[in-house]
Amino acid sequence: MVFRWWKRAVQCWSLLAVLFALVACGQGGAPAKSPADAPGGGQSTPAKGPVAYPLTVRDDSGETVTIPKEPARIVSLIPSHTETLFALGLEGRVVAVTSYDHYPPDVQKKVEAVLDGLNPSVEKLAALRPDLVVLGSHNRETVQAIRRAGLTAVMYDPQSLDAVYRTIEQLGEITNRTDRAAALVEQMKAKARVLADKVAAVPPERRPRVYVEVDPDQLFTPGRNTFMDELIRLAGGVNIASDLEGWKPINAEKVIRSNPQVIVLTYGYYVPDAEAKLKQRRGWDAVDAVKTGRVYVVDSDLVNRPGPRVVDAVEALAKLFHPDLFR
Amino acid sequence: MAGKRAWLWGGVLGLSIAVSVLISLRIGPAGLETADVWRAVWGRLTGAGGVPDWEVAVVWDLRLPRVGMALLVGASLAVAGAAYQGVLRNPLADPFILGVSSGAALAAVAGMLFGGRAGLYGVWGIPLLAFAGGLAGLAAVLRLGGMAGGMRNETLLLAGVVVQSFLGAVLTVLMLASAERLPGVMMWLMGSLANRDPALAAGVLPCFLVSLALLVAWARELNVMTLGEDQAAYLGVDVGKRKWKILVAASLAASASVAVSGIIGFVGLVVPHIVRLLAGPDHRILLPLSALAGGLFLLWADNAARAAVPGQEIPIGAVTAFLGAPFFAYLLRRSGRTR
Repeated sequence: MVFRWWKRAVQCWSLLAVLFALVACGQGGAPAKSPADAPGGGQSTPAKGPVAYPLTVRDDSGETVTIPKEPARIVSLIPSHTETLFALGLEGRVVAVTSYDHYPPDVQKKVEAVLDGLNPSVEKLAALRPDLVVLGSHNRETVQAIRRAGLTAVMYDPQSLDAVYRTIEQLGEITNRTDRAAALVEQMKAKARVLADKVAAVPPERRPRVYVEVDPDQLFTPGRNTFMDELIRLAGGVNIASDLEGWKPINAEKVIRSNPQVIVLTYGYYVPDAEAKLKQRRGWDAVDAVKTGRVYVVDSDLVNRPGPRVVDAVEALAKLFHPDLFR
Repeated sequence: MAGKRAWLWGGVLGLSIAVSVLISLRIGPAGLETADVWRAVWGRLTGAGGVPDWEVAVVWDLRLPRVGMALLVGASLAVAGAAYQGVLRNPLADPFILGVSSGAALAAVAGMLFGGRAGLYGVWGIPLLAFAGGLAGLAAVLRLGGMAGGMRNETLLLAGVVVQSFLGAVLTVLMLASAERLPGVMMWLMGSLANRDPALAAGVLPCFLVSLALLVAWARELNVMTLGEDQAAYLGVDVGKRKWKILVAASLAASASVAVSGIIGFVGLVVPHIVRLLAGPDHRILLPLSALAGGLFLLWADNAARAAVPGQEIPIGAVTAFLGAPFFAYLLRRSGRTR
């Protein structure tokens, strides 16, 4: 019973980490540029032409979904996909988003309805008569409940940069925006390449040990095989929690022993003075990051959303890890 | 005779605590060897160099405060439980069953959600708020159970269950309403000493000391009351008034400790019973010994919570429930048989 509780708390938490991270205003981070700005926009990927409907895809829930026609009324129940849909030029077709959506700016005013993305009311959802519902890290029950209501729903939960690219391309295909999706991905990849080249020059011993904390009470941190773990690596850092699998609470003893050189906090939007509070914790003054003042609050919108701005997140982290590279 | 026995058990418990503290300092995921722990302990005491910073920090700033909090919380709960059992003449009374813990937790959480972030309360605010909540929970349970002297066990239990469920529901809704704090629900409902700010203890320690001092001062009357209200009245003790005073004093310790640790059940139930078996029912002895034994018990419960599952912590309330619930069942059966 206790373990089930724990597991559930962890599950809820992971979901929350993604969703609630978005309450902060999305002022940080560069706006997603239109694909026209992309270097070589769309040229490197051959245009496939219009998508033929009905289209059958396999999504991350493992199910085969048939999209009968080009979606005209789309509901996004996760902010990262909202960003993708808008970046694909689907403004006007997205009819509802979640209350955690803050990007693009004023996105909640551009839709007919704002829903609870975590526990969406299937009734409300059905009343919007969407022909496509886009889901993210929702649990199986939610996905099935929406499908049982006769709605066409796809679920993508990318956990790596490559998976983000694939998800964008998939959403592009489903919405008949194949070319724009290809251009967007190409633009992201180009930016990622520039960053990777910069970071590649950093020798291993100059890559800081990094501790990321997303919850101040339980010391939740991303372990191996998490999206954040990859962001840390791409930004030229070494995650101190890489011996853990997935999102896990970490013991303060282990953090102090690992002696991180950089500490990144993502909960600054709901905990005032988060850096100061961390620095005041007993015993944490033995940690290099605290000694040298390298404790940072980052915009959780940016680093928690596996969407089109993910490369911007890598850049933001890389600037914290290697300020000298960006002078 | 009784005095000698008390000193004997006091000594045994004190020694056990001393040894347990030393062992506890050795337990933790950072994997320090005994020699490292000693080096770290001496390192800060003597200012000797050559000890890695992190070792000193782990031992002095993480493990030691946590050991202290476990002792404090365990002592508070056990003393309160001993007093409740005595004054209500009910072997099943404890802060958890009586709704004190739930009430205190709800008030503390509400306080933190609606004002704590602004730093409105300082060290004292949350424990005192918890105290108010604990009294409210207690009053609800006693009122519901019918404050009649020898309140029947079943009635008390049912009243406790009802009040706890209700308060638990409010607590859960509160936490959900401020969803980014959701992980905290577990901590509050099942209890935990993980990552708690040791500064919290600064407000709880005085509450515990005041409560213990008052209860020990009233221990004679408590002894008389245990005989029954009629007997007590014959012996000139005004039961009605005294009863409330004692309940309030006991609730101070129990509620304040909840502000540190969340709801930890069964400590206040199990410990006084065992102490009574060992050292007899005299409250002058029972109360201080319960404090020591409660601290010892919770220290080991916390060690189990820290070490049982590698890489993760079990809520301490789960550990105490695992040990305490069977004991509770035993008491329930026994009390059923004697009636």
